[in-house]
Amino acid sequence: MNDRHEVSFLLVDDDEIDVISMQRAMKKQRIVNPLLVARDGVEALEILRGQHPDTPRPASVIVLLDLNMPRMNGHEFLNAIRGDESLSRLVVFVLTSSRHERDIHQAYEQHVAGYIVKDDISNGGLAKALGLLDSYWRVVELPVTE
Amino acid sequence: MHTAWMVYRFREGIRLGECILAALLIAGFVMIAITVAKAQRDSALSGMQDRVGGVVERIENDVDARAYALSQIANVFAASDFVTYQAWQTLTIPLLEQFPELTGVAYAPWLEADELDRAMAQGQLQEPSFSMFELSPRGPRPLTASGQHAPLVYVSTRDGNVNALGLDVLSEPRRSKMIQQARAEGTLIFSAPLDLVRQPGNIGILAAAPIFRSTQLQGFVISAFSVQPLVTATLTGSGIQGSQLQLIDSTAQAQSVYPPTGGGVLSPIPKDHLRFHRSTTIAGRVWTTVIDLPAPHAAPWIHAIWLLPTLAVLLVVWLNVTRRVQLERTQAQVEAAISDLVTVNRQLEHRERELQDSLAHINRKNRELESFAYVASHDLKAPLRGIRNLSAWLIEDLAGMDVPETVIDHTRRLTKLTQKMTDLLEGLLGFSRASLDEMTERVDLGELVEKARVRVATEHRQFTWTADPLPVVSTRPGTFERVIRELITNAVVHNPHATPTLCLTLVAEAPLTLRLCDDGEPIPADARDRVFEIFQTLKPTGDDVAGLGLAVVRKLVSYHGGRIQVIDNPNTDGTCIEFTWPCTPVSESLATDINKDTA
Repeated sequence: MNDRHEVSFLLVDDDEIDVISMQRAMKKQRIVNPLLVARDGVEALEILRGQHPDTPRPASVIVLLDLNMPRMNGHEFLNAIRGDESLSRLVVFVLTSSRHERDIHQAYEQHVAGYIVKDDISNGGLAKALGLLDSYWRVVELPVTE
Repeated sequence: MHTAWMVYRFREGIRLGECILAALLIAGFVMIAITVAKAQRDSALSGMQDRVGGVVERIENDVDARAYALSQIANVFAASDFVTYQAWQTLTIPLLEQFPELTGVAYAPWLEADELDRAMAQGQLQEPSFSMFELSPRGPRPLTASGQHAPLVYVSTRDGNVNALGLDVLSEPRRSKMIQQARAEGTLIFSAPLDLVRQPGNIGILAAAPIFRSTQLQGFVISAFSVQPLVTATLTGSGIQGSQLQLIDSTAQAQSVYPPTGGGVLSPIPKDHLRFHRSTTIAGRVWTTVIDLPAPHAAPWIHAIWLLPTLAVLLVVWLNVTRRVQLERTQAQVEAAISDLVTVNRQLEHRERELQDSLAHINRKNRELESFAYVASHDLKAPLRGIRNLSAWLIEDLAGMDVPETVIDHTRRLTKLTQKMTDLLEGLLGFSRASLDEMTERVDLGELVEKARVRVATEHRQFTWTADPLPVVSTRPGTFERVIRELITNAVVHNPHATPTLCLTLVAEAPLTLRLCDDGEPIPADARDRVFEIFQTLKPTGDDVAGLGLAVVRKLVSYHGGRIQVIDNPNTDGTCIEFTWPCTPVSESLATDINKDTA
């Protein structure tokens, strides 16, 4: 069980409220896994490649990715990791406020594990989604970065 | 001004070469006409000469005939010493009968002074009281018995007047001259013209035929002719009128014999007449026959020879010029029209460019607007969600704490209002995103409608549903499904009944026309256009209804090329919305094949 707890969440989101929301939801679900936060795709890539000055590279990670972000948005981030040999097997859930068909389509083309719309999970919905995620990583073997 | 222009234009159409050719042609035709006219005139003149010659010849013949007759009488006298009055009468009466112009015939023997007795004996045979006399300046006087004498011993006249009986012809100069000439020449001689005493106004001529026995002159047969009947007889059947003829004795001083005007003055030539002269010597005198004949006129058809072709040539020239002018005018008009067309075309091109620019501008504006609506509503959503979350957390965190109820209430209202605003933004986002960027494919409309119905029933509430069978067509499936779903949603959401009743009718297949009727509250007639406008709701529903569904529907239907309107519900009190959806029908078998393939 312990090694399961070593799975980290990397929340890639520039919205502070969303970050707080995630923190509250994890607390509510009693999920104690570390939550790493990146403001955009560029910072997320730094963390994942161990290039970030403050945040060390997590051994096993589930990425929760917002799409609308400055500098490098979610789609660009997905393109970047799918083109990167060492990151191509990352498990990524899209967590966004966009319901746009184009966004959904484009995201699944990059083999995301799930597409969760933020509105659907507000008012406790996010907690449910996190419960789902909790079950997910307990069941699914995740690739571990070396 | 118009006429001046026309004249100018007409002059423009004239060609020098053409005019010269026309003039040459006309000149040629005139020459031909002149030649023909000349030939005709020559022929006519020749005919007239012949007629004149004929008349003169006839006069000569007539005179010859009379001279011959007189010569015959003379021959009888020459053959015998003594001709009795009875024999004379026998000879002369037929002569007078045969020649009506002959006024009288007389016999005058040629005598020496000692032979007068013989004459006396003969004269007494006709008139017992016969006496011979001579003319002197003081009047008649008895014959003096000296020298030579030629007394008239026998005189036959038409009227029986024998006043001249016994006259010595040699005593009268004119007669004397005649017989002296006849004696000298031995042939019949005419006298100069003289007035006939018994026929006033008529000219007469005497003729003397000498009688010779061997070379010895015996006497003369003297006759008097009246010219008028002679001319009349001569002209009969000649085609020449007596009024056209003049006869002149040209021997001594010219004297007119016919007509009896006296003197030698010729009458002036009548207008349009030609005068023909013939001179001939008859019986020792020179006679001039003058005949005036009407000048030959060119036949009217001679004019046709040059006039008709000339008119034809002029007509051709005129037609050519007119045609040329017409052609030039038409050309000018065509050129003007082309120029106008070019101008109009240029204007059109300019206008089209403007339109293209406007269209591009509008498209750009549209894209900007859509982009703006999308970005605005999307960017507004993020802080709104933050507010909503924060208010939710506030309620969570305040739970179990001792705070005034109004704080909780206000926080709840805050949450609710935020939710409302989120819904509005969501609707706006949906409206701005509603577009047609979708490919057409073959779809079963019935299936699409069923899919929409299930979705609405799941998302909102259950309702009673009846629908006509719908065809398989080629169209944009997502767009059509959206339209139907929004319409059904609209009908269900606004329906006051616990279980709404909806009915979808296929009104027409081409163009595809559908009608969705419900049993809800009818839409007032004055609000029927307003329901399709954005954010319009007909009653303050507040919470659930954003008022965007029908706006999206109308946008999609009109983008697709259809029309949508609210109509009266023919069956119930509810509302009916009818819309057309242009699409291509697909044959049933083909559709089945496709379904098979898909399966």
